[in-house]
Amino acid sequence: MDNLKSDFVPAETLIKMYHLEQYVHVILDYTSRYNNSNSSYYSPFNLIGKYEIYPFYGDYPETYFLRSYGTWWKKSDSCQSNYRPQDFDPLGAEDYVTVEFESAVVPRDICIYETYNPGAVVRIWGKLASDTHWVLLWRGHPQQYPSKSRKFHPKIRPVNQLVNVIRLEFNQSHLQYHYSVDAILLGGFQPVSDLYYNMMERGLFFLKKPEEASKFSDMDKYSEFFGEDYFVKLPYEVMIHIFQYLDLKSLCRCARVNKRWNEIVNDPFLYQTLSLKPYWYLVNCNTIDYFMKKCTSLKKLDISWCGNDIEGFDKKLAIFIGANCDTLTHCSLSNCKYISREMLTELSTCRNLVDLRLKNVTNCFKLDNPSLQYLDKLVTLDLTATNIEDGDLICILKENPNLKHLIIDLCEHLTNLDIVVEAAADYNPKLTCWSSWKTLSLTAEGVKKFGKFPLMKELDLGWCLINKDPGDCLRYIVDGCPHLSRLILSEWRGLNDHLIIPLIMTCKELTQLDIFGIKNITAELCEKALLYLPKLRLLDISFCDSIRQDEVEILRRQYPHITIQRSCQYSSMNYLN
Amino acid sequence: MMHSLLITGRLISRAIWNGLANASQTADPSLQRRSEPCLVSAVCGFSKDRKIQRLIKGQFGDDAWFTAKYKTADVLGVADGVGGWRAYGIDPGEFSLHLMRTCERLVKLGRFTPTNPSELLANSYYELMSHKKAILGSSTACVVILNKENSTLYTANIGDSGYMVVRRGRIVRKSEEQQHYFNTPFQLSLPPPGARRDVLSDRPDAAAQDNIPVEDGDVILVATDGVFDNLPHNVILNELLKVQGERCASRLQMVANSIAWMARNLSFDETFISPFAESAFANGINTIGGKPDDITVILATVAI
Amino acid sequence: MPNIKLQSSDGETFEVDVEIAKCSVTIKTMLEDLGMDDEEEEVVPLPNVNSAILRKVIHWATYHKDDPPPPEDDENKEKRTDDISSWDADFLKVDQGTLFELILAANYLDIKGLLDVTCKTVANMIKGKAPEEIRKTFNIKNDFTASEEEQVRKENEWCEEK
Repeated sequence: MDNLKSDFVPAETLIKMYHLEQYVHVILDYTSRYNNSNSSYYSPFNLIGKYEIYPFYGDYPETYFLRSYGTWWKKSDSCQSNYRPQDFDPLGAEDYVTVEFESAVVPRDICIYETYNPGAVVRIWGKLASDTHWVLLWRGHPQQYPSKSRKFHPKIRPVNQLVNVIRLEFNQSHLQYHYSVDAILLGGFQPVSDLYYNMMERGLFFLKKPEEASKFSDMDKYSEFFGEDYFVKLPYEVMIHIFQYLDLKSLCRCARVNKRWNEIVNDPFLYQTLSLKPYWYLVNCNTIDYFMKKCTSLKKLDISWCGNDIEGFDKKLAIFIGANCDTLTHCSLSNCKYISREMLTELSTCRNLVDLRLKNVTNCFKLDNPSLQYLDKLVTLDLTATNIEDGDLICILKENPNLKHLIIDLCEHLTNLDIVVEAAADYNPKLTCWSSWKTLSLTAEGVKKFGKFPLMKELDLGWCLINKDPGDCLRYIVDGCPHLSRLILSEWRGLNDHLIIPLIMTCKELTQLDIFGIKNITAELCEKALLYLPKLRLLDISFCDSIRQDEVEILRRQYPHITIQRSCQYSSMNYLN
Repeated sequence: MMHSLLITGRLISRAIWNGLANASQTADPSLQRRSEPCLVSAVCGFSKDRKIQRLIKGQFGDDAWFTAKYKTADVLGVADGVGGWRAYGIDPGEFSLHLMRTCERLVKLGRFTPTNPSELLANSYYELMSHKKAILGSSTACVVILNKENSTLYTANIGDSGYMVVRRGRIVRKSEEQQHYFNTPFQLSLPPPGARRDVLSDRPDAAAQDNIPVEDGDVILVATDGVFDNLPHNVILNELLKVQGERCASRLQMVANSIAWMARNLSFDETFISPFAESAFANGINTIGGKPDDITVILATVAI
Repeated sequence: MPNIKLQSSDGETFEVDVEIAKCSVTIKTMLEDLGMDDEEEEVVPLPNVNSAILRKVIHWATYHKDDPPPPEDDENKEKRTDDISSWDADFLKVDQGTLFELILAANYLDIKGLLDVTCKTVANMIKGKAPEEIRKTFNIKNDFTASEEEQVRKENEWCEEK
């Protein structure tokens, strides 16, 4: 950590304490998952309990997998841009998982058992389940690490506060392939005496260290004698020009410099976009009140990750959104679990919304009742892992002829995706990105309808046709989507070389082709793809069992500029003994 | 009020942590009850093929098995991979092994209902479909769950593996074989896409379900058809009688070994009129001798 | 290459390529409005810029003469401040007085690129500092009373880690 307190006195040296080591007991929250919620494979629930796979290394379904890796997802047109680049996260956290342990301890050791492509953890937070105050235990840049499993055991910040909830933040954008974690161990101390335990639980036992306020107080006097305040000369609009580059935290501090700064910092021009995601651990109802005063014409709002477990936050946010409903064009609410049907109604009044993201807002849609029905300008809609149903989605598609990006990954309540594709073909001819990864109700008949989107560039249909006969449905995509640049057909187990060849011969714009898990594909087909697709940069052929590893190696040598993914697989199941 | 509740909750959890679970210390009545039933179990089995012995835990040839415990339940299961897949280049043991391994994991993760073994089997089956590696094949399966809360055994059986419960010298419950026709049991299948139309596949909810309250000393046998096809019921019963009320795992192991060993010997006996031969005869097929097969025996007793 | 002459507030004259001078919207408009043509040896007076600063401005404009025109000032504009080129960073390694003079000159001459990069530089000097540190860095007088200061501290405390 940046400033190790040398005067730190560990609680365990002051009072009698037990030492405990424990593995994860409950999974509380997560932003990324690879698989449907009813499956334990690749699921965050695999973090529960002791490690199962470690010290083995590889692509094991018994561990927790993050869905994305590298920059392949960021290259997508549908990827969310930072609404307020001034407030970017220097460590680039993309996902998190929050876990609970059985007993609260003063944390001393955290071990993360990484079993595939280690090095994604960038922050470790801790708190008490009963509290909303998070404490940062560790942070560091994402790491490059050799391809083997590791027990990541960072030196965590010395604190004397009880913790039973841990959140890990991940940045996997530098990794070669999927990241996976097997288990998390929390080691630390718990007071033997109930009195001390209860005092510590309430933060009474150890005094907080005093604010480092006095450090510069003497300097103020000198400033009158030395140097000149050049800001005095700057006109208001130039001050605004400088302040527009500042992140929200710096603006808060500028407000405290002097009266003139305080006035200028309040200018609504500086608050046309808000990205509170980097401040998720600080945001509460007061924060919303704070911005309520400053924002008069908010255009973009990213409040992803914020406000969970905070009482009354949903109502506050609804009022805030309501107050800015005429100007709001972009709104991202990823992982805001409190978003209710009422909140959707509020959002529906934001008639100028073009970009709406409700990823992982698992229960916001109400059955048999239209939501978001007043929106008609949408260009991007992300409903990943929500409970949207076919009829409701079709209503939205009907009202939004300009829709370009639709993300409905892991939507288990879409029980007839075929009719959704059909509706989109009728109402949304401008669609360029369609992603329905692991939304399993699609059939070959539905796939044929993708031939009606001449502008389609990115099509993610991974796992959709896992055990279904694809017939000639791929042919329709080939003939109908000449501009396809990204195509994900993972686990379409009924495909073979013969069915894929037309794709390779026709869709010359392809840059990413994902055909992993297809047993019948041969190395010859891969070679053709590499040869005939001039723009190809990514080819995923993991778990294509007919292709031998030595054949992959040869192709990799021949086409070094193309990333050929081949998952690290085990040959038998004896790893579980 | 809130205050004191918090302390109690914590006391219990810490007591468990430190192995100090002294009933008198805690106010929670659930910890005082020590009459909870549990299963003592032993496993033995043989692969049909005498030469190739893959030493993988939970597997005998194409048979697979698991035992697992969770808070309120003890679970046992066996599965028999259908050998016909070898002709398609598919290892028949892989499907049954994954099916059982996944059942075991689901139990350990608590993702099951102690009164619904059929659901456990079904979830395990659907789970296999979300494995990146295509795990193909088909299998019979039998899963039994001892629900400790009501001392009742819940069973699910698909195909010709099975279970048997013995109490005071009598077979009080046993599974019924499920067959489409002779020597073709019900089975869970994940065939390669393409081969789909020619493959027999039963839905996981086709499993026969049953439940029976258990008593202290009850003997439970869960085994694949390699046992039931080769050992007459009275032979099995004679062995099971030896361990009624047995709580010593090693003595249980001896009997499990003896059942598996007898089944194996008889399966290669070409003159023996096995239950399989009798059944064949009843279906108009004139055959004699044992039925060489993989053999898996899980033997358990109920201790309350 | 036609040149024009620019005269600083302290009377010094600089001869500059017209195209370079026109990176200043102020000069560009002046030339267009006055209809100055290239033959006349006219001098453009710049009463708000002294010779030291004007020399630096011309230096900057000469280096950046071939840059693509900066994007229109819309909401999608890049607001990050970690994208300052190393040449600009070196160029702006000057005392505070010069830096703020450059800002004022860029503002007066309406040279968007220079205004952006100088303002970003100042923004970077502000970032991550506590109010006291900001005052110290820029010699700013604290004109809050103790109770006012406490009030603004409270108003803005949401972003401070506890």
